[in-house]
Amino acid sequence: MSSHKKRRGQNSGAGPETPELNVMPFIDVFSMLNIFLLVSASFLGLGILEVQIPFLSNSPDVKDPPKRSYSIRIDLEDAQVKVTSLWTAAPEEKNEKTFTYEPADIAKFHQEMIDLRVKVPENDKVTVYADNTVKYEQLIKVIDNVKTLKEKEPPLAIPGQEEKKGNQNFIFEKVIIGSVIL
Amino acid sequence: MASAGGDSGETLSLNLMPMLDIFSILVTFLLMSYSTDPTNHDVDQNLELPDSVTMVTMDEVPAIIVNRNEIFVNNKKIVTLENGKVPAGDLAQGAIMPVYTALKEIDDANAKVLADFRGESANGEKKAKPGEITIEMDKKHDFQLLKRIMLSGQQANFITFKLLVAKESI
Repeated sequence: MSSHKKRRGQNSGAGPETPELNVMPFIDVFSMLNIFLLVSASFLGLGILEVQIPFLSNSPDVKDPPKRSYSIRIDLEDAQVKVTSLWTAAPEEKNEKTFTYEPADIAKFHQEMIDLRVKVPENDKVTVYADNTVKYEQLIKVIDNVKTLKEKEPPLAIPGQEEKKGNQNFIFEKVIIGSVIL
Repeated sequence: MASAGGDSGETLSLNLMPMLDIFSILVTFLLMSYSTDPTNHDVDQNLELPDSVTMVTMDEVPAIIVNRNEIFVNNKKIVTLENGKVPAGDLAQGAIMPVYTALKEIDDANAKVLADFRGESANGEKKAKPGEITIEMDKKHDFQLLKRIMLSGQQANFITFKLLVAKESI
């Protein structure tokens, strides 16, 4: 304190003093913070895609099953993806569309999934069948486009969707891998 | 050169402001991208995850890891793959026998914990709900391998599979 006063006293006679901020403590803190953050940071974001497989259940049958139901089936082959949507019972309605794995075609496939979801809002389930030789990467690409809306896409106009908090970015929430049967 | 000498008695002052600026920007960037997820998992170096736009974050550490050459269950090596295929000796009815055995142990342990929690005996009449399991798998593998693993899981009472992916947006 005394030396500070002394210095100030010395300077006061020389002219206007320019105060200097001691930045060393800042640098110390920032260095430590940087090291901590760099060590603990994870630069690869990990996510999950949830799928189900068919299983035998001993729960009782539904008493009044709907007479007319809607199902969507996706068949994956090495070079193409086939989408089949089907209304069971009369008036039967079956639509088939085929897409390749090219980015432009996959974008069309994604749009087709959105259209199918909006067309029949009650159905939130898709069954996927894949050939043994299909790559895991291709399967994930398809499931991704079936399940998830992209970041910039608006939520779907489906009744009751707003109530499902946190699930608004799903197109089809349930994906069943139908090929996994003994 | 002259100023570096000690004759003049002049002291050099290093301008630390640019360094402080860099540190500030770096700290801001790291804090912005800092993950607060409770689960932290290092991906196996011998595998590459497929990309996805999913917004669902990983909530449990993967129990099954399938890298290019091996299958691990709970970090224990179970099967060595031959050119991405399961050796014929490890197969039974389309499933992978060692994977089934390891998953069955997990299922039994889960059932026992649940029964203890409920205060029932493990062999009680109530059957445990089918379980969930997380799979971390290399993107170059065939679907056949995944199908075999899922079949093994199905036999061990696991019907929901969480496939680990790398988020594209980050």
